[in-house]
Amino acid sequence: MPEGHFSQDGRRRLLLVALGRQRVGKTALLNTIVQYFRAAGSEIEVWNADQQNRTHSLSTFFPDASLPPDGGLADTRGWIEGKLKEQAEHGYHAVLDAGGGFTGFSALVEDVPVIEALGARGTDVIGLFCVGPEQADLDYLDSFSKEQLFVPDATMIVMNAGLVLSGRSSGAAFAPIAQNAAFKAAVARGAKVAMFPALTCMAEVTDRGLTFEEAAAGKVKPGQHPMSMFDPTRVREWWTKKVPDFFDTFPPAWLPTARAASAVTAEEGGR
Amino acid sequence: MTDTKRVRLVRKKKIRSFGGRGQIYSWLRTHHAAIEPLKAIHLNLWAALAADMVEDGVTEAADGRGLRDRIWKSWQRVCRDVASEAAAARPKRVPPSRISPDWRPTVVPPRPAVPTQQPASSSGAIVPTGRTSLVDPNDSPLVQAEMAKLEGMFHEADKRRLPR
Repeated sequence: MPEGHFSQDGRRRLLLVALGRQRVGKTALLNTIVQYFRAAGSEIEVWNADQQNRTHSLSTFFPDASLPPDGGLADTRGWIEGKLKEQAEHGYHAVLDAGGGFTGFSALVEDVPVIEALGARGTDVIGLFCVGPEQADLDYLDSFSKEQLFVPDATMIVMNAGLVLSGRSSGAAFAPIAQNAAFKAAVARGAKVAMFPALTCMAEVTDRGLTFEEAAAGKVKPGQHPMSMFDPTRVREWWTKKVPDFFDTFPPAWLPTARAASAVTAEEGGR
Repeated sequence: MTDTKRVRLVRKKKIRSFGGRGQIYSWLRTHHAAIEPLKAIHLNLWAALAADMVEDGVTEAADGRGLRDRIWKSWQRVCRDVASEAAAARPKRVPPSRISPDWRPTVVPPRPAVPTQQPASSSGAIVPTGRTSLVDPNDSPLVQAEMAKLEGMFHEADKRRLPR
């Protein structure tokens, strides 16, 4: 593979920010992104600014996740600024779980045009607006857009199929969301839409603090009850088929870089 | 050096021509059946495919600028075209019926139309459309394309559900 075929790989850093109400799947989405792309060799830092979610926070799954210091919004905002500076200096990708409600991240974007500032320093911001089937789930997208606070060119509206009640079809559940004026306005600006696949036994995996690979292999931690007979199969199907299909709906430039193409082709040649 | 020899991702085939389409599209379409199962297991699929294309003389792939996005966009189009061709090729089965084709059910006449009030578009409220499809011909082509894709996603998601 000649050098330079994929100029964006390794040059543009990505900051993936998950936004949305509480319990719409921000942490589950970022957990999946980090596990998936780290497994492929991407260097991704995990920034966990969600201080309200303890049991299922990113720190449960990634011991190396960075946490803001105890304090108020101004402290969290300052911490995020510091992390952004570090990222620009060291050149890795990062995910930020901003948490729900008015957060340090909201305070930061109200204060400075973050997207433009980071873009000038070589970091592309990817906005992941997580929504369930409730109209109020679009409030974040609506308010961030209306006030022009945080409107990245790379905006992905992630519909969480795991939030659709059992027995309902995804189409029926999410159609009202798709007809929402804020949703359509975002799509008209270039936002893309993806559906995060449901994993019926997600809680069985996350409550045990397992990685998806461990769960797919039927592993549990010492002292934990084994998973039910079919759960590892469910996880395997989800992890190896549905999740790759989900990422396939993203424009490639919006996802963390996997290993350099040359590294992969050399490895293939060595098999 | 044998350890740097590259292994092809897909077997070489004679590239079919798809009138009016570019080389990358034609190459991807020709190899669609071989690529489709790979996408779940090979994260650097696009890089490896590009290398195969270059090896097959696809000159459009020799220019690395934005290549990954060009491949990705062509691949989306190939998948859409293959799916719509498959749908068109499916025979439409009409079940036999003893009822006259001219029969119509007795229906209650519709109410006279009442003008509806449209909410302000910036309020985040639902825009009532009265349609079953999400694709609104009044929207821009960009929005229509994304909504059509979304309908496809809904269809796929619901297809995978077991009957309850």
